[in-house]
Amino acid sequence: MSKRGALKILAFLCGLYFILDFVLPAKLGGDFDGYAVDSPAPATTSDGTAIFYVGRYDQARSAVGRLAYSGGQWRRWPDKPVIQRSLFVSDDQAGVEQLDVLAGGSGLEVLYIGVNRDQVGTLCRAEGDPSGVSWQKKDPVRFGTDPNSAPEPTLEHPNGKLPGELKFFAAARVGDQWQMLLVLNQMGKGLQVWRASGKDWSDLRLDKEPLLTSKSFEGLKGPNGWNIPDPLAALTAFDARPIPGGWQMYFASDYTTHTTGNLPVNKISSLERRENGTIVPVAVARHLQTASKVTAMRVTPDAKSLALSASRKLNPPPPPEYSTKETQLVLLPLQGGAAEAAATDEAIAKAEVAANIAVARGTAAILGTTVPGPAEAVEIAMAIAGGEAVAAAPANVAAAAAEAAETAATAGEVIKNIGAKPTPTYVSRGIQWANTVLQVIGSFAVFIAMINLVMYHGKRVIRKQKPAYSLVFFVFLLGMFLFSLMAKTGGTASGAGSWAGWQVGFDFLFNNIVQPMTTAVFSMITFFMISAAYRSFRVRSLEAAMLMVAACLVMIGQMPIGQWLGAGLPESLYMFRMTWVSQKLLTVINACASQGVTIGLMVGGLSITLRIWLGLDNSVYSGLEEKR
Amino acid sequence: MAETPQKTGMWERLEHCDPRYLYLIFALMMVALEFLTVAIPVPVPDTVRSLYDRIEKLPKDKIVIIDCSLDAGYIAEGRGTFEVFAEHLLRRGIPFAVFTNTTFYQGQAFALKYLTPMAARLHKEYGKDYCIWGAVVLQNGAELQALAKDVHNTVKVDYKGTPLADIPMMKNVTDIHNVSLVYRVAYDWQGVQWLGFIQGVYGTPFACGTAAISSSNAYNFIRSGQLCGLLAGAAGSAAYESLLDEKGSGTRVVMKQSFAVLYVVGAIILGNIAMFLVKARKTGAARMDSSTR
Repeated sequence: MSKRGALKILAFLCGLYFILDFVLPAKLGGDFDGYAVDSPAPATTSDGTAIFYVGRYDQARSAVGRLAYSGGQWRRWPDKPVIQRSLFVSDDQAGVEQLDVLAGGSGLEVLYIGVNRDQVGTLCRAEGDPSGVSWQKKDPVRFGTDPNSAPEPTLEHPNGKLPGELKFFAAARVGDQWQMLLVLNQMGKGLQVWRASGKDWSDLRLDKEPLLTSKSFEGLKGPNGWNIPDPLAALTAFDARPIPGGWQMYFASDYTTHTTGNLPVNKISSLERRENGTIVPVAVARHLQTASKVTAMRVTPDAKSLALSASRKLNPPPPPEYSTKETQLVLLPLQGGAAEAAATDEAIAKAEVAANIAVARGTAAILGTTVPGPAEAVEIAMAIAGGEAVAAAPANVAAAAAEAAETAATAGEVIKNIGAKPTPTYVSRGIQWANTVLQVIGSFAVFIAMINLVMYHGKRVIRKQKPAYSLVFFVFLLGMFLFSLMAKTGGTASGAGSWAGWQVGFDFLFNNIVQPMTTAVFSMITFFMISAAYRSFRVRSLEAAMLMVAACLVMIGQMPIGQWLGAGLPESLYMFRMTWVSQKLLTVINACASQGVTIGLMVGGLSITLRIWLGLDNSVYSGLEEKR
Repeated sequence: MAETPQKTGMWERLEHCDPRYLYLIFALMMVALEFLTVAIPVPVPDTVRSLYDRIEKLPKDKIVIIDCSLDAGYIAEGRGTFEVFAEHLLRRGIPFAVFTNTTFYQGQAFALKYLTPMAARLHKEYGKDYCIWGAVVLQNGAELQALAKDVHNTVKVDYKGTPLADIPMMKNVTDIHNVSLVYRVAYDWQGVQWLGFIQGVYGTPFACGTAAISSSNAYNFIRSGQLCGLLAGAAGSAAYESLLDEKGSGTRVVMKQSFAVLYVVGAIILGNIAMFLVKARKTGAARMDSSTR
């Protein structure tokens, strides 16, 4: 086979490999929830209690699955997802999060936060049959604030204009009304809980003021007299249910950053927010403290349990095709345990201390494995309890702690792990090897350039053709090479010894010679531009006049001084503002023309690339012919 | 018969004036502006505000990649676009990794030069809040194709030679799904590969900071929604600085750049006025000549 033929086949195979890697998925097979499980939402269906959840195939693709209780355990039924992300509607193209399933008029209603490709969440809705197997997506929920006009959704805000970014929500049916609590992130103010209500999903009315903010927790004390920490500051999951005279809310908070050693601390707390504005903390009987973070939770319809998703980082991390976190769905009973057994405030306080310490000791861990020592336990307990003197907890608390630990440790039931993992393709795994080969080949280009320059200047020195200039080249080539090499290899990484000296030398050469000289050379262009603008940019035709006017407008309009020049014009004359004119020139006229050129270039590039790849273009192998 | 030398007027002299006078005036103006501060209000374009808003909403459990393709020729404009973005990330506590390459080899040194004092000022730590990756050889997008699937085996080490697996903030970053945004700082508009191999395939948002002169090509991708933000030259970084409520290198440069642009536009207008007046005078003189004959 000729050299040309061999090279053509090699080029074809390499191109084919990269195309296959680009086109084919990185992994094949496995279940739709083979990457992660998240956002459980228990609901009463015609088949009994079912738990809906979000299953992830990878980080970008998710769908809603259904778990049914049969044979003493929770099983996926049906085996396929019941709700898929939309391919053509942008609201949930990038995924589904935070499910809530409610009983509707003739079947079930599901609310979820759909994520679009810009990672912006929209509260979406679907209606299902009583069994929750078949679903039909409906328009997103719409919120309004003006009592006299209907909500006005836009492409940018499909839910209508909310006072912040939607993070969590909880919904319930009260009488003939839908009631909702929304946790919104307001820029600069943090998370806030807002209430909305209405008869129709397309017309829910938001209150004028938030129901809860971080300020609501200032000075708030529990029955034990300790400060109640602000759960909104470290919120990782939220749910709520209406109770007579208010709402009972559940918060899952991550207090990890509050501890000095960054030990994992996650806690579920609860409080009642009554209609008169008072906030009453409620002792949660079961505590969850593990290395696992609670990422979503919902109270079961009978309010006896909490379905939650817990996530824990895996160490060491698995291969890149798999999630770096272990995720599970857990059912945590809310009744029973130390806190409920305690009837008095004092007993509740002791139980809280006990539970906190137990929690902190890690003995209450359902999923985690971290068991911190006693000192760390006190520190974590202090973090959870708001920094009060937990360390001085009475000795008899230890016994209660042990009891609480024991009850809590057996409290949760893991109902779902991730499904069957997909198998990575060999094509995908091989891309790293192929890339390394390319990196090595690419590195040779530097040497080729260097050898070429050395040969060129070497000849000039030997032939004495202005050798001084060429010698300058050799001095700096060797200088930079030497200092750079020694700075990397000549000492210890701590900067001790000779390493520091070489690094100083390299920095000196770079900061005081390479950088100023490059900048100076580039700066010369400005002077040539001025000369060209003055002497050559002359209006000698209509086209030249149009070009000049457009150039001047864009140049001035791009600068703040130009934007400032037209800023004083009234709003009705906005089209005479320099900013408006220059932006229109750039984003409409320039963009249209430039896009046309770009598309043409790309089509041309594609055809040339295809010709080279398929071996139809012999010009790239012309050197071989000459040598033969 | 010898021709009598034609008398040259002011406009003729102006039309053919020695460019060195123009250079001198320009240089003097720049030197003066080094010592004078002219307060120019900096309006914030939508392209800048959208990037700022996006950073405000970014999650803290994913990293941002900054492709630092700075070089010394572009540093006057590029420094601001790099610094202001990095400062916003550090203030918000969003970890970021600086992607560097061998084509724009100075990018790594500049990133180190600007980030080290900034991190010290904001009490941030290398390896936990930010890191600088070792330089990668650009391969027309093949390196990005590999990076998207496995960060650790594509980049391998940071600029000091420490394996990425040993850098705390990189431990759980495996592929492009752990990246919430890519931002490229470069003089030219070569972001098409990030769009083609990353944004288009995985939906990772992409923004860029570029020289004002190169930004016209980037506006195509603003309209198509592929670019989620654009800092066009010093004006872009100055606008971003105003959102961060600080005055950095962008604000300093944009003042001088504004006057430089006014000077260039003034030169164009003056040159054309001179040309038209001289032409008009010559035409008038020719008419007079023909009428007297």
